[in-house]
Amino acid sequence: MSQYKAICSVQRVTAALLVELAADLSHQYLLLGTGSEVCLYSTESGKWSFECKSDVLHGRVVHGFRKGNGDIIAVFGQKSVTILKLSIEDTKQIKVEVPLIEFPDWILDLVWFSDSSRYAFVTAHNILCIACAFTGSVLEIHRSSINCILYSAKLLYSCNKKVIKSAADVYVAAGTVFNDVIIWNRAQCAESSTPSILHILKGHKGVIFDINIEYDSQLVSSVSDDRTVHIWHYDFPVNGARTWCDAKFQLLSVCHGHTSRVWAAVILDHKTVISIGEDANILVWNVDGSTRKKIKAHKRKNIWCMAVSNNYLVTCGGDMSVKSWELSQLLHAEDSSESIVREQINAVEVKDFPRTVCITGSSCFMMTDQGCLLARHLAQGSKLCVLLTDDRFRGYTVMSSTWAASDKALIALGSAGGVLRLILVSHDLVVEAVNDLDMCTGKVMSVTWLFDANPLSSPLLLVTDTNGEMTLHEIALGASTLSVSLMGRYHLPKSKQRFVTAACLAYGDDLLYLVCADMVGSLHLYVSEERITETTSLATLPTCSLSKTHGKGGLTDIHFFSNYIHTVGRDGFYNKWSIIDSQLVNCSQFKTSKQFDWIAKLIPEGDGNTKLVVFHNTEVLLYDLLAEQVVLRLDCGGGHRSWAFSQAEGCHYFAYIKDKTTNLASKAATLPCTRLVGEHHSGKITDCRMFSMRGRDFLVTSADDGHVIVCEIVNAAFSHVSHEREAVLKTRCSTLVHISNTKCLTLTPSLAGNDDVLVFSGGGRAQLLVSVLTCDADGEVTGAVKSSMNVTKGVSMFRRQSKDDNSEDADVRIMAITSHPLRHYTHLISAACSDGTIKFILYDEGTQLLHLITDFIYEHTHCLLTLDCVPVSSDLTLLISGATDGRIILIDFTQILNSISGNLSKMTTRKKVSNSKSSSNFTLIQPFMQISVHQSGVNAVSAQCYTENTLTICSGGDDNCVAVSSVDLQTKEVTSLKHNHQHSAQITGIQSLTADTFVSVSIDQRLHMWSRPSPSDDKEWGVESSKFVSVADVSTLCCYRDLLVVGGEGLVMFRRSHM
Amino acid sequence: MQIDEEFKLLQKGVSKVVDLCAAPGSWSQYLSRKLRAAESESDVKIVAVDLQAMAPIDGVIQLQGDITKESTATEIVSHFSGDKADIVVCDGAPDVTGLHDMDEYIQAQLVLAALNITTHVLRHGGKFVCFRGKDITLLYSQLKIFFKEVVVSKPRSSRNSSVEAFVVCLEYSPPEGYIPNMSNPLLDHHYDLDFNQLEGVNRVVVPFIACGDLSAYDSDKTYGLQ
Ligand SMILES: C[S@@+](CC[C@H](N)C(=O)[O-])C[C@H]1O[C@@H](n2cnc3c(N)ncnc32)[C@H](O)[C@@H]1O
Repeated sequence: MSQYKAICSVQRVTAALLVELAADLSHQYLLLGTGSEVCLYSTESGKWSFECKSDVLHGRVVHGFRKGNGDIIAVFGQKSVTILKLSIEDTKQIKVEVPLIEFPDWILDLVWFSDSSRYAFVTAHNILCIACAFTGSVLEIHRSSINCILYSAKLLYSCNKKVIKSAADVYVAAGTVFNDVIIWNRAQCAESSTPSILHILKGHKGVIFDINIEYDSQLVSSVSDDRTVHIWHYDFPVNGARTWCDAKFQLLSVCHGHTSRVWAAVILDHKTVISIGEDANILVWNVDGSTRKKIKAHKRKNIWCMAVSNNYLVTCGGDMSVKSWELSQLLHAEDSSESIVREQINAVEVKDFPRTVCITGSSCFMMTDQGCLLARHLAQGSKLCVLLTDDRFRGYTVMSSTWAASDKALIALGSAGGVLRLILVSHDLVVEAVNDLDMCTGKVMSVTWLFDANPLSSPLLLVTDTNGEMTLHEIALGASTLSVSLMGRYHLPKSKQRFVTAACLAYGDDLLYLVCADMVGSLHLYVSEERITETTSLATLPTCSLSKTHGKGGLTDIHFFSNYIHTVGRDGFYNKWSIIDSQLVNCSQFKTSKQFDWIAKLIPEGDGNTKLVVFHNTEVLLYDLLAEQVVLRLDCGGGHRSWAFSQAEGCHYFAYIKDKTTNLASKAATLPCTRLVGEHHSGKITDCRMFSMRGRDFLVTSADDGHVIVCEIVNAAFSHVSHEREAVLKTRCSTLVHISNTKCLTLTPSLAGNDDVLVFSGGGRAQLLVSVLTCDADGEVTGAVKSSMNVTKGVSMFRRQSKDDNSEDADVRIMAITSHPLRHYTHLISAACSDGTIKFILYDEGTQLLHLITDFIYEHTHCLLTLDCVPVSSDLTLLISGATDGRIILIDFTQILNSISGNLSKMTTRKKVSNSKSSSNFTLIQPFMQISVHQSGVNAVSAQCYTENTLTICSGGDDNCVAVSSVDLQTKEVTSLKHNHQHSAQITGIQSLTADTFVSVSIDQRLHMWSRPSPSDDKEWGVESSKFVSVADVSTLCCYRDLLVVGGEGLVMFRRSHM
Repeated sequence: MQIDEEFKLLQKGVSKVVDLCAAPGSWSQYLSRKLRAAESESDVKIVAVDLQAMAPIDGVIQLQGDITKESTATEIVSHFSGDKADIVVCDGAPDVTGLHDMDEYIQAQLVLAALNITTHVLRHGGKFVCFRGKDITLLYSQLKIFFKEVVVSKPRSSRNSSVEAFVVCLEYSPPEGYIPNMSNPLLDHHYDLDFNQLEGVNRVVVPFIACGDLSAYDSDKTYGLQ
């Protein structure tokens, strides 16, 4: 019999507390609750270290910590409480003082009695209980006269003394569903049997999620579904008693600023409130309701909880990370100008001087009058290096730089004589590759990188010559080479200053467009071309040209995101455009609330936020559009001809050329925060796989957030010595980003004969992504995206980037994916899609190209959910898919393989077929057979052929049923055994292990190990053992050697051991 | 509406319905249309309750309040002093607290509150339907005390792993001598005290029946835009 033991997990933090322990006042301690575990961290002057952890709530979830006397901590979660003692003498330890006690109702808050002999807690039914700390026996129960369900509650002291000796000293502040905060206590009406309501705080327009109090300043905060923080002040009659009974409450302020639900708020002193919420922002408020600071503290959505002490704020985010912020810096009203570092950079030769400047990554590049390319890191005092000197670039150069793969910079220089020079510079400023091209006869007028192309694809450069001809080039990066291929040729209409100042690629009407602006502020739209080879082809004319879109001063920047083209200009306007029938249509035009006169640059930040670089009077400002506030202010003496701005390594940098020197000003960009726990997925995990590379084990996960993350599994190898040792997941890379969510992934070794591993991932927008993972000797993994395709259209998706999710539902999703190695470095990928089809795609590792094979079509009437590929015998391989109609479909994959192998070279070289349906010679695939075992969707299948001619298919459905079907491949006879009584919710993961064992997992949070006495004994399948899975919304399961991973809202890794 | 057909909820003779958590009122509207067409107007009684205010619907008595709150429950019951209801439906979806276990718990409490109201107003043999029954497995044993038959169902063509499952409780028959009580001691929150060797909340397996026609529109499938 085998057993699974949880060895590590990635889960969100649900409770946090910063404490000082009497036994060691020189450190601050932090307790975090994740699932049923408590983790202890400590810090000395801001550097945090992990001390130890312990599972204390066994299958429940930690909701809160309350400190009692003598370093005793009460931990509560759901209906249970346990008392811990933190022992920090020699070895740091979490000791259980009073084992877990289960109470009959859900606990919302808990307070200790002054002598720590008892504690009081309030439950979700608005009931106050007093329990003995040592035995957990309930001594008293008090019900409120308002009997209803609470979403939150806080227990308060009486207002004149922080002493609790009896239930009469405990006051309940209850957060209801009907928007009120109710304060009640049992003592007020000791005679009558029902406790009375002392105060009802009315004002919120939604459910109350958290309540807090600060006694000295007499403030109460409440937060709600209505996106506000309410701050209440209480006072007492002049000659009256200072009791809750006599207190008068007044709504002091309503704080608007969160863009979504507010989860919690704390009051720090007489004048500050800090709140966190679903929008992942920390908001610092003055008690009058004005915002002092707004910080996007975590990725994507949610800061779930926080902890505060005198020195630190700790936030726990939806991105799984935990960060510690220095409170003093957080509370600082406005950033002071002292923190600005200024430097001047001169040319190397005395007579020489810099003409143009640009910044990429953490490096600054300058071109001098004498044709000398200088570079240095942005960090203060870094060394200046000369990269190249060339007379051809004397006196005149146009320059632009962009980020290239693995932290390199790619610089384009254009000379007066028509030379285009491309230079690849490594992170440590070494020139890795140079390529010179003769571009044109006259001057190169401008070089512009198209930033909105997928950052993972090859860089695209737009070059303008004196005749108004623009050429678009794709730059492919080799180890020490830069190869340039011409992508398109466009005609820029005549104007006084005929060159491009800003350009981007945009997607509209199902077509890809090039949008660019010239020096006089006209905006031009071109239908982009397929890769062209003939240099003689004619230049494309614009389908639409609009002049002076940003007044006389002109347009300064263009970007495409969220399905709109965004432009800014020297008239201070921000415009949005969309493409309708190949025309640019203005959708909105606005000025920021601050009425700036010159917007110089637009920085899309994802998450729907945008920042603007603005010249205003003598200053350059960085303005946050969402927060509507200036986040950076630098005096630079006004606008400049050549300047550059960047945010890198926690700093903002602004470089400009003035008086023949480069001025570099820098300032810390965000508040310094320390990461105690690193980021992982910020959405539900949808699929996972494990593999080994160079002797190391890795876990790859895909999620709703569109990311694919690779973690190394450290210490997880089974060893008899380290039987008890747990595993650690080290995030190695997380760069592979889908444009929509990622649904599925599959791994396969590269056929190139190295150790690389290919990842094929599929998801929304019918996107298939191919990436390669490479591992170096230190276990550093780099992931590089090689190809991307929309599998319904069969077109490359690299330059069709749009991050908008609006139309997602109308789009096809790839639900499951498998791959099969062929010869000639080619893989055949099968993708089961939401439109009921299975698409077959070839990937060629040599050319890094994907080809949709339109010769084969499988179409089902319902959405396909899952896919497995099983070699049955030497001459039969089956594809097995499950659909939402409860059917399992078997497809003869060998047939497809055979006909593809025969035509492999023909297929990969064939020109793209634009419309698959109309091409005449495709084969409609008939299923090998179909099995109907489930009443509704088949979420998981796993099949194996353990005995000749008999296929065993394990399947799990939306109908809570686990089915095992035996298929006689000769007669196509099926016997299915259904097990309806083992899981109480949908089965979302299943994996066949051996002929006699399989595992299943369901969103009922159960992992079942199934077995049968012998393979011939079809009827004897039974659950051998079960395991509770702490992950909610379980959606996937994968096994690898003795490891098993369950993913959902977080993940848990188990290790199998035999008993 | 699909389950109405499958389980014949609104068959002949059904005229009195309680619609809990009814806002914005699409079910109330459906009920109103269907019942008033089939039964004589004077017999039809529909009481709709929600935290949120609703637009008026012909023949529907609307109450605004928290169904878990005792005073709201009392008010609903007062409308059924003489004649009892034939069906109680509840479509409560609590606000998300962000804590998955807490959400599940509050959802269960909503169902319990609805069940408590049901024990006061439902006639013997009546039906109780809960939409959003994803977490209903926690409450199966409670429901079984009051109903002869309890099944979880889902439209056959429904979206994978969504929360569209619902619970249908048929034939109300409370235990002999059971007297409904507003502060609901019988229904109180002891439902998962019997922990077995397994960690975590104890869940019960409820029979599953898919309903609806397979040929129905597949909400999961991506259809072309013909
Ligand atoms: C999905 S909607 C109901 C839709 C409705 N059945 C229809 O057909 O239009 C869920 C409703 O539950 C209500 N609700 C949530 N908690 C409640 C509570 N404690 N008491 C009453 N209503 C509640 C919400 O206000 C919300 O309107």
